[in-house]
Amino acid sequence: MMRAGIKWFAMATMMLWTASAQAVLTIEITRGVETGLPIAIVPFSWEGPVAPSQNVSDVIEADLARSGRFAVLPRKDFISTPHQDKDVVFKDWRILKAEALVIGSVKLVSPGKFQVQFRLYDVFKETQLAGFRYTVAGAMLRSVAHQISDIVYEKLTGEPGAFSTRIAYITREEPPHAKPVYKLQVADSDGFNPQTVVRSAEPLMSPAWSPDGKRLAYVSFEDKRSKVYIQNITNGQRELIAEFHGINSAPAWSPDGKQLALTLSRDGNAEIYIMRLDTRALKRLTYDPAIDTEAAWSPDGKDIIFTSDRAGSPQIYRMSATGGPAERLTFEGDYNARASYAPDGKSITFVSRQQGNFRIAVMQLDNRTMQILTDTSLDESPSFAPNGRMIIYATEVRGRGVLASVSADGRVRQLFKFEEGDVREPAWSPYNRVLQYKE
Amino acid sequence: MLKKSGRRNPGRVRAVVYAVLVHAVVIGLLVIGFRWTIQPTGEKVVQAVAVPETAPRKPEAPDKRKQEEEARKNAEAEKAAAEKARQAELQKKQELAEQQRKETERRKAEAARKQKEQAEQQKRAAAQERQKQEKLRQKHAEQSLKEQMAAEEKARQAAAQAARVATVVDKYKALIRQRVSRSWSRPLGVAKGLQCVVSVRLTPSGEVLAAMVVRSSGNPLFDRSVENAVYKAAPLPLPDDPTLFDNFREIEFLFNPEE
Amino acid sequence: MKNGKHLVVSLLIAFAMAGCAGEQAVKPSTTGGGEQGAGAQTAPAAGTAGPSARELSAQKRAELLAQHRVHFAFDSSAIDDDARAIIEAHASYLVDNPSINVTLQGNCDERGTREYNLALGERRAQSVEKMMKVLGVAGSRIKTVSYGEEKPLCEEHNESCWRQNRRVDISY
Repeated sequence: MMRAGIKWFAMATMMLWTASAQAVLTIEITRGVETGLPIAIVPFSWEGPVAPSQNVSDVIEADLARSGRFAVLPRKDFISTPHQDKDVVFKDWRILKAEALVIGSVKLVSPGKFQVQFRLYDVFKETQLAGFRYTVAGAMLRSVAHQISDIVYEKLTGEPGAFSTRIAYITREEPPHAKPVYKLQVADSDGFNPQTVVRSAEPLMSPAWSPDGKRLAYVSFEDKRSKVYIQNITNGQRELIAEFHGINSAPAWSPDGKQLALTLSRDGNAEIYIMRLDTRALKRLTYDPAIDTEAAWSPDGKDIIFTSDRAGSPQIYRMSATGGPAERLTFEGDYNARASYAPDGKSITFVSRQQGNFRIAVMQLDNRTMQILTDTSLDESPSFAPNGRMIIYATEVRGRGVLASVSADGRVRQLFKFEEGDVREPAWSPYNRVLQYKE
Repeated sequence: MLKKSGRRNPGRVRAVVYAVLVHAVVIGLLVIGFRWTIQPTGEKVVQAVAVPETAPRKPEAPDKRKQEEEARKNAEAEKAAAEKARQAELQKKQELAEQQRKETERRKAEAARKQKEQAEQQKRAAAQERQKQEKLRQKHAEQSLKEQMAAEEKARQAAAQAARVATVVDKYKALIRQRVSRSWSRPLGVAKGLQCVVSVRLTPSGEVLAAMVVRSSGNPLFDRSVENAVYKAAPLPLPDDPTLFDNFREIEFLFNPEE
Repeated sequence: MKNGKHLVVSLLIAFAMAGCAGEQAVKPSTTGGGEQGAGAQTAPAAGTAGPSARELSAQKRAELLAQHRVHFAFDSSAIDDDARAIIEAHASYLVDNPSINVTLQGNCDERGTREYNLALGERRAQSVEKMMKVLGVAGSRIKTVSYGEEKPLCEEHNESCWRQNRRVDISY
C-alpha cells in the first residue's frame, strides 16, 4: 500500500506540473449585442451613359435594414469601395468589424438591358458565400435587387428572405372637390411599384391573398352594401362570391386554396361560415348571438381563430375548422381582435387595446405569453411576412393612415412611404418564386 | 519510509548484539556458578523419617517367657542393632538425599535467579535501546519538521506568487470576456439554449493565430457569429508581463447566452 | 278630408309622443359626458320641465324628424334617450306614410378593427330597426346596411369626432 500511495502522489504532482505549464484558459461569454449581423454593402458601380432609374444597392440596403436582422454599416466609414473580386481587401472590412460584405456592378449591355452582378463575402473567413449575374430589362431592376436581398438574407440567416414578395393594401384618396376614390393595390414588399387592381367610388376592405399568390379576395361596397369578390390579379378577372342578406365580409383562404371562411349575417347576426369554392356550399361554424368575425386559418388547415364578443368584449377564440366548441385564447385586456397565424403556426398576431391604445401584439400559442410590439395608438390589420420574421400593419402618422413593418421580435420598426391619401389593411403575399436569371 | 527501515536495521543489529552479550554473561555465570543461599520461602521441608510401628505388646509366659523374652531380647537387640544400622544408613541416605536435594534446589534457585537477572538485564537493555531509538527518532522528527517547514515556506511563497499571477490573469480574463461580448453580434431568431465552444490560439500581441469551433451549437449561423466575435474582438488585451503569456496562449471560449 | 284625418291622427300621435316625452322629462339623460353629435338636438324631454305630451308642438316633431342620425356610446348599440326621440319621430312618420321605406345605415368610429366594426355597425342598425318595428313599422319596409368605419363624417382623432361617427343614418 505504501508503494501505491507513492505512485499516486508522484503522478499527481507530474500532472499538476504539466497542467500548469500549458493551461487552457476557459472564458464563458453569456452576453452579446443584439444589433443584427454587421454587413457592409458597397454601392454598386455603374457602367453606361445614363444612370438607371433604380439604384440596386440602395434597394438591397433598405431591404436588409428593414428586416431587423442586420446592422448595415454606414458608407462614410468605408475605407475602400471594391466592385470586383480582385479589388476586395478583407482587412479594410475587418477593421470596420463587418462580418459580411456585398459588392456588385450594374452595366448597360444593350438598349434597355442591364447586367447586374454581385458577390457576398464572409469577411473573417475571407470566402465568397454567393455570387450571381443577371441580365434584365430596366423594369426588372428592383425585382433583381430584391432577389439579391433574398439570397444575402438566406445565406447569412439560414432562412428564406421575403423581399421578393408583394403586399396588397387599400388606399383612399380624396381629390379636392371630388368624391373619394378607393383602390386596392399590389406593390413590392417595400411598397414600391404599386399597381391598382380595383378602383371604386365606394369603400373596399379586407384584401386576402390566395395561397398561390394569384388571386385576391376582398370586400366591395360598390353595390352600396358589403359583398365579397375574388379577383385574379394576373388577368383582372373576378367573380362575385357572397352577396347574402346582411353582411358579407372577412374572406380568409384555407391553406389549400379550396375554401374561403366568411363572415355572414344572413341568419340574423354576424357568424362565421366556410364556403367550398368549387360548389359554393356553405357550412356554418358559429351559433352565438354575439358578433363572430375575422376568421383566419391555421397553416395546417385544422383550426380557425376568430374574433368574438360573446364574453362581452372582442376576444380571440379558436375552434376546429370542421366545427365544434370554441376555446378562448386572450384574457388580457378588454379588446383583442383580428388575429392571424404566423407561417409556422406557433404564434398569432392581433390587435390589442392597451390602456385605450390599439397596438399590435403577438402571442405564443404554446404558453400563451403575449408581447406588445408597437407603442403607437391606432394600429391595426397586422399581417405576417411568409418567413414569419416581419409583420406589416396599418397605423396613423400625423393624421394620415400609413403602413409600417415591425420585426416579429419587436426590435425594428419602419414606416412605408406612400404618395397620397390614406393607406390601410395591408396583406402580405405568400412566397413569390419569380424565375431567377441565374448563371 | 525508506529512511526508517534503514535506521531500524542498525538498531536491530545492536539489539541482537546486546541480547547475545547478555545471554553470554548469564550463561557464563551459570558455568562459573555463583552460590546463592536460598532462603526458604516459608515452606517447611519435612524430613521423611520412617517411624517403625511400636504397638504395645501383651506380656507372654515367664520361662518360655524368659526364653522367649531372652530370645526376644536378643532378637530385639539384634533388631535394634539392625535397626540402628539401618537407621544410620537411612539417615546417611537421607542426609545425602537431603544434600542432593538441597543442591538441586540451590541450582534451581540459582538458575531461576540467573534467569530473572538475565531477563531484567534484557529489559534494561531494551529500555536503553528504546530510549536511544526514541532520541534518534526525535532527532529525525525535528529534522523532518524543519524540512517540512522549509518546504511549506517555499510553497507559501510559490502560492503567493501564483496568487499574484492569478489576480492578473483574472483581470485580463475579465477584460477579454468584456471585449468579446461587446464584439459578439448575437444572432436573433435562433433557438434558445444554444452553446458553442471556440478554441483560440493567440500571438503574444493578442492577435488570433487560429480559431476553431470545437463544439458546435448545431446552428451554423450561431457558430459563425461566435467565430466572428473572436476575430472582431482581436487584438485581445493581454498582460504586459510576457512571462504570463503562457496562461493566455490558448483560450477556449464557451458561448452560452443567458436568456 | 284625408288631410283632416291625417291632421287628427298626427295630433293624436303627437299627444301620445309628447306623453312619452313627458315621462322622459323625469329621467336623466343617458348620453355620456361627450358632446352631442351633429344633428342630434337636445330632445325636449331632457332637462327643461317639458310640456306635457299633448303639448308637443308640431314644430318640435318636425325638428326631430329632420334629424337623420342617431348616435351611440363606444362599442355599444344601446339606444339612448336622444336617439329614441328621433327614432320615434321617424317611426311615426313611417307609420303615417306606409308607402315609404327606410334604410338604416350603421356606422362606427375609427377605433378597433374594421371587420368587427362592420358587424357592430350592423348591430346598431338592427337596434334601431327593432325599435321601429315595436313602434309599428313593418319589417319589410326597413332595410339595414352597415358601413362599419368606412364612411366617417369627420376624420379627426378625438372623442368629439368619434361620437359623430358612431351613428345610424336614417334615409329614405
